[in-house]
Amino acid sequence: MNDLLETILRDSFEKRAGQLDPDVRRRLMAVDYRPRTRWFLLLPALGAAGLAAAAVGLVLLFTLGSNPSPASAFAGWSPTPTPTRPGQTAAAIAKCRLGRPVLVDTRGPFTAAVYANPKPLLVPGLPRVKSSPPEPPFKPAIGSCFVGPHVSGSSTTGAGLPRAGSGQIQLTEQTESGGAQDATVLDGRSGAGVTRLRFDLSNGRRVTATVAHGWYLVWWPGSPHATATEITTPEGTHTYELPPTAEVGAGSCGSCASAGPVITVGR
Amino acid sequence: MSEFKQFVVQHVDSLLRTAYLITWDEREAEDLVQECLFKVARRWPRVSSMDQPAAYARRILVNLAIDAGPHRARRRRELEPVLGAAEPSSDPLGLLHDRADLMEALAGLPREQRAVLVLRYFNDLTEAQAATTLGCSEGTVKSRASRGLTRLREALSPLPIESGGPQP
Repeated sequence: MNDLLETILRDSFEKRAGQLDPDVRRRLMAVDYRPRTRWFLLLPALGAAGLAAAAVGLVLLFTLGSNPSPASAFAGWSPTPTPTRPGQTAAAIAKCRLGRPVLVDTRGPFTAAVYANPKPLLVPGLPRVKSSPPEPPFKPAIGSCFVGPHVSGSSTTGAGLPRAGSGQIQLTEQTESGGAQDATVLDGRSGAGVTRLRFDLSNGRRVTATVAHGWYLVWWPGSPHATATEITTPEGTHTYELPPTAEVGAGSCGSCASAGPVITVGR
Repeated sequence: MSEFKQFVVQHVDSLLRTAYLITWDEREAEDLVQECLFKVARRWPRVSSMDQPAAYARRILVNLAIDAGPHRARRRRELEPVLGAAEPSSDPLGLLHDRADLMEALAGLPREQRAVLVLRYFNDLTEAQAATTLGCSEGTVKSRASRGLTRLREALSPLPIESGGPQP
């Protein structure tokens, strides 16, 4: 009896496995899996070069905790969101002090969140950092924050994002902290029907955003930029090439529409 | 070609197929294999000296897949396409192999049970090897496999699988 069922089972597994899209294998083969070896999250670097994405009043702070090694600053980070551990979200919200988030993203020990109309940014224990160009004071419209074992960061922007259309996302600057090696954050509005959002990075990695309540957020260690985004809606999945970081907002993306510092991606 | 790259070339198919069968979702399988290979790459100096680096990678993958289960369960249900009608089969067991009922039953199994069945009947691991991969006892493997097979038998109950004895 079991022999027959087991035979059927083996055959069914083979049949199912045979349905895999060959492109998946190709993508996996193309990824550069080498571990990153350079990490710098030094606050002094922030003032000099870290706020190039401040055209809409962005303030972005990253700080290392007590005595972490740079290589371990992002240990445990995951390219896909992971389950939230008990107390993880509450602890991050308390530390970020930006109010109540509209979206929470967890990747291993890191918690990131998006805030609509956040409280003015104030990270305890850190000096205020001037944005470039200096615009404060402003009433922030959007904020994001992440907290991890050895690193925490917050950003706010003074310009609101328009709602994204159905099946679309709004993409702002790919903000990154001061040095050439730290973390890159993408967040913004997602339109109705967007159920999955992934980004291909310039280093070959692929990361999956958290999408909820009309917002999305994704971040990754280091400075590679997103080269393409894959948007999944009930109608299907479509991939869109993205302009280079410096050109985001310039309207150079073939599938994108520019609105000042914001581009719209999707159909 | 680096040693790690060769490892990827040799084993990415097996890892991907295993992940796909456990998660029942192609996109999630891709994510998990990518995550698994990143983990292996970070530990490659140690992994490469192991007797069976592939078994180590599979252990990481399977546990990632099981750990991710509850988190992605809702999305998986939303995205999972309904399997199409069975195509005619030329196998000696008639239409049994292609029964959509079986696929649906497999898709509906708890991920831990499906993982055991995948390791036993797709990866051809022994119960002891499956237990090592899952980090559990052989008894747990046996019980999960038994429960999984029972549910599959129930899904196929109209078929003569239950009869067992010689057919007239």
